[in-house]
Amino acid sequence: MSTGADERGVVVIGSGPSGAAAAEMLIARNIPTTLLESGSAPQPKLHVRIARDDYLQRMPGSDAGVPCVTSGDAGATWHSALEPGGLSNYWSLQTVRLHPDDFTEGRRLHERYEWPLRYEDLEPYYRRVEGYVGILGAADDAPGFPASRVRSARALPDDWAPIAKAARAAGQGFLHRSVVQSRAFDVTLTGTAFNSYAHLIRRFPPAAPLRLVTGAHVSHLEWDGKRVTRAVYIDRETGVERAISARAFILAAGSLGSPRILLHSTSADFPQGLGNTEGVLGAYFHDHPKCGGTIRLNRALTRVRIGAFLVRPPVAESPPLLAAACTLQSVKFARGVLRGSPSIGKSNELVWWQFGTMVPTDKNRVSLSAEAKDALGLPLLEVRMRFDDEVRLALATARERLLGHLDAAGLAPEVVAYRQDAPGASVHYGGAVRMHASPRYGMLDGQNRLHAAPNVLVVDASAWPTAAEKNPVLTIMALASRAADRLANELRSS
Amino acid sequence: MTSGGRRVVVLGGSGFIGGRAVEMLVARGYAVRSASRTARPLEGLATVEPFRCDVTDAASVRDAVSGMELVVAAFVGDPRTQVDGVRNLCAALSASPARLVYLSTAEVYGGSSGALDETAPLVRQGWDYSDSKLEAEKCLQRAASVGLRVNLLRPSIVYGPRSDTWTLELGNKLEARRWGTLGRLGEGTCNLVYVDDLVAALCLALERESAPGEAFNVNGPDTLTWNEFFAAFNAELGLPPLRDWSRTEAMLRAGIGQLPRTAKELFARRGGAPPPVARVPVARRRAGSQPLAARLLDVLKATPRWRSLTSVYPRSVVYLDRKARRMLGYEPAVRARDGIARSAAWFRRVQEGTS
Repeated sequence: MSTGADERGVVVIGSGPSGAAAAEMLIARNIPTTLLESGSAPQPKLHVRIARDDYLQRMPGSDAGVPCVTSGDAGATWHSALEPGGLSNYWSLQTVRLHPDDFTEGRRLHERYEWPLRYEDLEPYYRRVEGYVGILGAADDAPGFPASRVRSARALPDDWAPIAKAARAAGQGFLHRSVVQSRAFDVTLTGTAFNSYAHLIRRFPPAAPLRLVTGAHVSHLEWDGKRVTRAVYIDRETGVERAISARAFILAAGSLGSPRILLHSTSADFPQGLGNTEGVLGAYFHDHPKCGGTIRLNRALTRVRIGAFLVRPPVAESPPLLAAACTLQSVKFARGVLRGSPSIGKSNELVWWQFGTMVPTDKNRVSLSAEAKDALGLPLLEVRMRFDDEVRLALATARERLLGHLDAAGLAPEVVAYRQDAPGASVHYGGAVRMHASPRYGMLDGQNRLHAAPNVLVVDASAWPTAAEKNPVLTIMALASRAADRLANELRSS
Repeated sequence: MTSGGRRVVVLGGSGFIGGRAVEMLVARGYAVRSASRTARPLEGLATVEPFRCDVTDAASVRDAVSGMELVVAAFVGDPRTQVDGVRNLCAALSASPARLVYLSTAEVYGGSSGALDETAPLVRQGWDYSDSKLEAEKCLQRAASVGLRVNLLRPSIVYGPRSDTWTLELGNKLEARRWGTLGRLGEGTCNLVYVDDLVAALCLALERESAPGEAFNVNGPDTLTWNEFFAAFNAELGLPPLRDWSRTEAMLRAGIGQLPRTAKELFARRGGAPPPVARVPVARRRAGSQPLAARLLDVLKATPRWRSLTSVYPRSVVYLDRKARRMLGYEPAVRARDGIARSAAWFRRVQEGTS
């Protein structure tokens, strides 16, 4: 086994949004960084945008998913993207900050649902990430919605104001959707307008202390009794096993990849997986239940292409950790034509989709299969996920509130198409290596370090103790940026 | 649970589901009145009180439910019959302590896909049958909000002896070799529920009252694709394997078949619907003796409905019945394999009797 070594530096595993954000921070702090990426080259894709309507955009929801053993709800598919840029290749570009309540709300249910950090801890890192991502959208705070630092402020058209008014009266913000700023007309081969590989890693200055190793599929981490010393990976091109040593290791391999690596990193001290002293590793896995469809209105509204965002129902009116937010868009022009309303400026049909939350428990979890192996000979993951009735009810409540606001605005909404997705469809899962102040309820401390092996950090959505009903990518990047910043402080001071 | 001889009327007691409900309610010890337009007595059920009733006539509905503790609404008909019947029923029960169980359909969820429970929205799909059931549900919910003790069942694909669509009609088509598997268009989910399981759910809903307006999905224990269902039924009938129509062929056949249907519908809308005619299985066909014209006619008759082909058979949907299991104690007992075998056996019996 050969050893690539940078004893002074940090190894980051994964080049998706979290790995790229962590690497960006480390490089800015001048920490030598090696980025291991399992994929070799981006998967071929084409993204066409015409007048802000996206066409030919490939999203992982249409794929068969990664091979794993599933149980719980039928039809679940789990996705990860083993390619440079990871799942940012399929990002819908929606950027929403979590709300301060999202970090504390779970306390109402049990202490195990409390985050070991607060909104204020993350705020500076939101600003940093928003700075290099570049956001277009609502510039002002609204109920339940802390606004991002936007590059281009946008508001909803005037004829949408009655809906916003009705929503506000019910304590819900209703505002222009916030997304990564991008061109109105665009043809790209990177799948989306922001890709953490193409638009962040590849644009680091050539002198940056970064080494990128592609085709490096990490199998496990090695523990010497005091600390983790090496990451062992399989070179996909040659099939040869290699190892790399470092002072610290940042796992950013995604919500399935990071728990897989830890579960597979067994030793005499940690027979159940690295740092898994309390059996928490793999448990509390959570997903965004997703549904959506089409709503027809009794009159046409000015076309909103990027979309409108209806914030979740107020915390005080919802059961703990159960809520959903809605995103609305006018139907694409091309579809409007097919449905006989060829107006360029207006449309009476809205496409809507919504994400909800769930209470993470130890029933929904990821674990390693005892028998089944993947193509590289590593154990397959087993994933168990079930959406309980209260989860579906929270989705329905949010939908009924949306229809209520549209009705109050005099638009007589009617649902004309509906779809309830199986687990995994949102590609917004996490929690299997969760943070908690106490090792009893979490694998990681408030700085994303393993309680039991502090030179290993997990910075992707695996670290989230609870999910919020918002697109997680912006927060994933902010959290990774913060963790890398704290790590840099530590490395500099020692 | 025993019924204690409680008085129940089944509206639509001569139909497929209503008829089976009458039989099973009698077996459970209820005093059953079977209301239908024909008031035809059921064989071997002398204790059942046949009752002539036209649900579109308010007075007739009032008479049918008078003195009853429980009412089962299992009548079918054109949209007007469906909606008027429910309106009349709501009026007749408005000041009554009687409880109503209404048979709706999972089709009220329209073309929605995914795993749907009762929180899914009701979606119109431009189909008379489901849109009128949806309208009827809305009437009932309004009545429930002012005190009508009604619960609703939303069964998925109900099959079994005396089922017109999913046993008799399908059996006839398979027998006549006028059906095939539908390629990719037949890979949607066929949520089969055997009629006895549905009626068991109905009895549970009668025996365990839920909050007014509460609705329950009722589904079977197995999920098959439509292609699997067609192939299994075909095999149980002892027929040679089904030919796989490609997607293109199925679409072409449906397109051809749609022309006379559309014409007929337009005609029916103008002149009012003709009364439904009970169909019996076709006699077993002698092979190899058909003239060319008859064979051509067969091809023209082997036409799936356009709506079913494009919206029902490819639809990937599962109707979750967790709520019925939790609140009613419903447990579907008839596996698809057994249900299909029983349906095929019944089909053969009827056929022998008529050929």
